Amino acid sequence: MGRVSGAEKQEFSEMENAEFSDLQLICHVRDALSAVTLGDRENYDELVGYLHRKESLNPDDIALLETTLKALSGTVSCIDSVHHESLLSAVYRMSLWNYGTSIMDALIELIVSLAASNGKYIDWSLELLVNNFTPPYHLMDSLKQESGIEKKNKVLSRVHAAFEAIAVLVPLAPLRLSPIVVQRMPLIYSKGPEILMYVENMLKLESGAIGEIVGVTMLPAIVDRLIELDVEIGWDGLLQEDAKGIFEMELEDAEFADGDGDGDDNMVGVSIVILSEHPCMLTCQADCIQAWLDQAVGVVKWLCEVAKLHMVNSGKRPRKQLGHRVISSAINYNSQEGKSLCSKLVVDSQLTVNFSANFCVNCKPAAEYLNRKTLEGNTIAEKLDSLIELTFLHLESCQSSGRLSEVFDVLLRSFQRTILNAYKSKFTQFVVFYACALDPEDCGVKFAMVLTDMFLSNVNPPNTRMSAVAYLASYLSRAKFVSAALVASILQRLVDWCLNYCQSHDSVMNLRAHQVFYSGCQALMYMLCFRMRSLMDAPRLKMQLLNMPMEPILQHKLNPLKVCLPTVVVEFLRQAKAAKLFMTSESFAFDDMLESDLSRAFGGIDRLDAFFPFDPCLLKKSESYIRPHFARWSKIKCDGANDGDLSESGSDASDDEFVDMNENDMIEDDMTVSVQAGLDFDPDLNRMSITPKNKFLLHFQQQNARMPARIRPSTSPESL
Amino acid sequence: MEGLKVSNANLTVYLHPSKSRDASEAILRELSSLLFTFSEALDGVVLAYDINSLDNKAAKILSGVIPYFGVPLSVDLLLFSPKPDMLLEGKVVKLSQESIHVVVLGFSSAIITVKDIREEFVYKTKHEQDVYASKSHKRHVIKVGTMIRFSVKSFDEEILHIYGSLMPDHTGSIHWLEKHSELISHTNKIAKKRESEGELTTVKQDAIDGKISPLDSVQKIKRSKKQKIQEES
Repeated sequence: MGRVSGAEKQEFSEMENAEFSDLQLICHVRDALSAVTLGDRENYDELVGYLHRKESLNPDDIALLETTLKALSGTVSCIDSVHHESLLSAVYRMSLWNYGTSIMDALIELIVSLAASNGKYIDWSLELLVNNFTPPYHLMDSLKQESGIEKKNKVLSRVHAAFEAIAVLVPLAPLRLSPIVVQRMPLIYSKGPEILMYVENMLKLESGAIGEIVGVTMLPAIVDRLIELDVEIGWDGLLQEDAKGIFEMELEDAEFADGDGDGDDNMVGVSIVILSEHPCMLTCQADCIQAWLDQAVGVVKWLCEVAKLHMVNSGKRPRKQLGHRVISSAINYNSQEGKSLCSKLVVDSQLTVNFSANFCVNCKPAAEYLNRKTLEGNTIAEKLDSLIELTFLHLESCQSSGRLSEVFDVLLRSFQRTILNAYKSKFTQFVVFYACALDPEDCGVKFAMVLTDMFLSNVNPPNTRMSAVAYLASYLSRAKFVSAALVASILQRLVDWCLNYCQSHDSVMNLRAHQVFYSGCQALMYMLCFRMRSLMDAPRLKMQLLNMPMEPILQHKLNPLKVCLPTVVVEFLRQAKAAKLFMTSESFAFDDMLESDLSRAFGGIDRLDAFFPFDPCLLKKSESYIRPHFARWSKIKCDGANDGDLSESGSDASDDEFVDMNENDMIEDDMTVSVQAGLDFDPDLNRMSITPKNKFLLHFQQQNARMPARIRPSTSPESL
Repeated sequence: MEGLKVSNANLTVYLHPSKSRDASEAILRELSSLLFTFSEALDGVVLAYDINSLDNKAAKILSGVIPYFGVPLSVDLLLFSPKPDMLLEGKVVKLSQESIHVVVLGFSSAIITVKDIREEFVYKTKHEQDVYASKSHKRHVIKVGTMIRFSVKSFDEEILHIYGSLMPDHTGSIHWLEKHSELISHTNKIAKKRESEGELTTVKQDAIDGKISPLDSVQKIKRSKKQKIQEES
């Protein structure tokens, strides 16, 4: 208790060579504090001076600081917010991360005592503790090492223990803590480690002792942040590091020369648009050139737009770390027209670009230009990935402690409020997916039921209902852990609803008026594309399926087959034929497989064009968690093709059709995003996954021309 | 315990039009948002509510961009409004040389600083536990977990924080106070009687002896009083 170190004696010179007990110290501090009100600031300033020492590492200073803090803890009732403002601000600026454990403990004790002593200091104390969620900037990097992690554990365990201590003394403090924590969340533009650490703390609060009160706000706040990050990601930003472009134009006898020459063999890295003053030999066949050049003009123009947007350093190739790398595209040319074309381009694009030798046109998809590897710091996609991974780990820990059910309820409410209505949320919904995967019987079923009820209840606005049924269809198709029986029961409810709708609406095809109905039909067909086989395998469910009155729905005047996405319809009918579902109407159904204009406009400028929320997750880390529970289209397709009953259409498929389906697979199973950049392939291929909207690409698509050379889908290594 | 009261209030709850489908649930939610907050109009912290009746008068729709409608209600409210010098009871959660921290009714934090603790109580560490022990009554001890009665000095309405005091005589550990309240009052009566008797006898005695010293008699009385109290506690 009472022994004081030598340093004390030196400082308190007026009492030389005396030993101080705690009580005496407290009296001294008390006197110093009360003296301020009378105008005598000498001792008080001395005290404040001790608190300002940050870089002090010698044991004397440490002991001094510790003693000062302890003495202050004993005199909190004398601390006045007006007179002792400098003291309070000095304490506020102290960060636990800068000190050793003894000072940490003393500081925490002071904070807790202050919080309990006076209502004015509660918010102040809570804010101070929340400030300690993340280390100061100069310590951020040290976190990757062993010592850094140890320090982090020491600090955070004390911070959270302090919250609990305050909650014991001031029961209403947790209520005040929630808004403080949520308000101080780092913005999405902050550095990745900072956001991650803060969210880690929030999750710790959620599962901690005061989690009952605080937890209800933590998870929804995290989901909100995830959505914010999600919508910031353009589709262009998501390419797996080693996946190649889906389509590469292959030049016959072409020599591919990497334009920028910095060895980016994987063709994922990019360089600025560069054109050389010295035209090189074109090795392509002459008859392709003109068409190519037209194509290339478009590409380059578009690239220039993008480059402008990213403020490429003119005249210089940007350094790698700037990260503003645009699609590498260079044009091979050796003709006069090529040269003039290039000059024209330069003038048009208003960029002073360097010309360099050896180009080739790689019409890589636009998806590459925000390569994660090369952008400075963490890109938004990586941040989102790490955050989602953190949430997954938290859900796992909730499950092992048996709390998953309550946490899932909170998550589900947050989903209904935020994710469901977010326009094309890309990955955040996988948090719910994973929670369902961890507990299929309870959470998995609950999720499906809630979505079905949302669709069936006509209280909800149409957009919500359409969104709900899209989620339902995608979820039931992709979740391996959902039982076939559940799928069958939900199908039954949907079919009954659709039939009811048909019977009560005796009108012709009208996209706008019956959009909920059409989305329901599309959901039905999509689900059956994935689940037909598993349903047919179980005899009871097969009977149920065969008895479902789907024919009258599909043949109704409202004509859902024409309005719904052609890819889905084709695949559905093919499988139905193989399963011998609608025997009488097969010929009719197939004849109608024209690409209808209406299908393109389904949803149209409005939201729900083609929305399959649980398409393969493109975030690497998160995907590895999801993979064991996720049903891939290619797997289902293969299984279907190998099976005797359903192989009729599969084996009869022409090469074209096979190529078509293959491309579908590529799009779904590839980690790459669907392509747009001017490749004029069947837009249907986009339909099985999410179609991005990018104004540049749209603009570009308008000026496209047919690809002259052979196009072959590349076999991406990630397809299985 | 003082400070609690039940009031009947006529309230009007304004609901957003989107809630018109299920107005009763919305009303309950609105009333719940009042809980544990201090209301100036009601002069107290709302702890509980009980809806008497939804008056069957129609709800008036406010004109404006969003047409909220006001539902008139008659509600019974349990209010907590501590005023200075009221006596409150709470559980001790922390003891230190400087203060006693108490939680009242499970939600309100109270602090009694050493300035407001009467001389009788002294801070000690007994059996590794921090306690405030009474100098005059051995058994009167305040430690963590004790329910104590204290008087209110002031009340911070925003954070619901009470500044308390243990100065008045009838404050302290409730357990001890209840047990000894009768004895105390009895002791006081007897002591007073004895005092007056003692005075007479000593005066008589001294009168006979010829020495009357007022100090002596007073001391004697005090001693006898102390003895009696010690015997009884």
